[in-house]
Amino acid sequence: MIASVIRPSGALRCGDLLCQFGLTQPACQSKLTGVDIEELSVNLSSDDPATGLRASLALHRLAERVEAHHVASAREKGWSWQQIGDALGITRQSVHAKYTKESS
Amino acid sequence: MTTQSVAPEVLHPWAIYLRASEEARRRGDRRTGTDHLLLALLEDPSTEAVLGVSLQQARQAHESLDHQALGALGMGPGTDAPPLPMRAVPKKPRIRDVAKKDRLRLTPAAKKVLQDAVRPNRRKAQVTAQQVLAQILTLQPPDPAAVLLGALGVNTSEVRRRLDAVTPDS
Repeated sequence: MIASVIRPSGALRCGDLLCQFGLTQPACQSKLTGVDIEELSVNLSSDDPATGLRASLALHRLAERVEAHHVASAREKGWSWQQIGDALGITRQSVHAKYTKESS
Repeated sequence: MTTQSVAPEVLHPWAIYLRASEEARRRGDRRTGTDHLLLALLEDPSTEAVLGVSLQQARQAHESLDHQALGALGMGPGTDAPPLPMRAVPKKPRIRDVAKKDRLRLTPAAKKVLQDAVRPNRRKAQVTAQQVLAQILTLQPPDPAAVLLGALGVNTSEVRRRLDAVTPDS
């Protein structure tokens, strides 16, 4: 649905010529060969501000989710708000105000 | 196309805003943008019918746009965290619901969408999902909602025509 990335005609396909099996660990290999090389090169070569700015926001979102996830798990493990605040570099009140409704 | 002449549900702009801000919270955003307004409207089945897109599809499209952008930075598809839990939103919001300290404020574009949607109405506390959607459809691509609609393959002029058919009075 979304993966309708415009592919340049005649671009190299990820075939036997490009992939040599056995060079990387099996766990990584499946991930590597799964990557669509054409798509990746199209993305990397584009210094499109729309993509870059979106990526910056996406990183914000990712950081926010990771923080929330780990604050919740820290609370489950019995960390105090003070400890979590120290770890994040903010006051315990700020952490508490932000996460208390979600964790309870 | 079945265009029943059912009176569209009248909402308070705050109700749309609060729903949108929960969508923003779910994604880990700091502000409520036009894309979140669009997702909030999609909770209503009639909007889903007009757009031909479901809420789930729209959320997935949002995610995959993010993955594409992160991919451009060289971050693989494995970098992901689950969405955050959403809070319940009151059906008839009061001032204390909206004025909460930890609310996610509207982006300037989202604020303009809501203001312009309410403008033609006599009562400023009432707006329909169709009016807000009509404003969102006027946005152009760098705007997150327009990007999302583009990713979903929604034909905006077609949807606008369908909206006019549903609401003949406006």
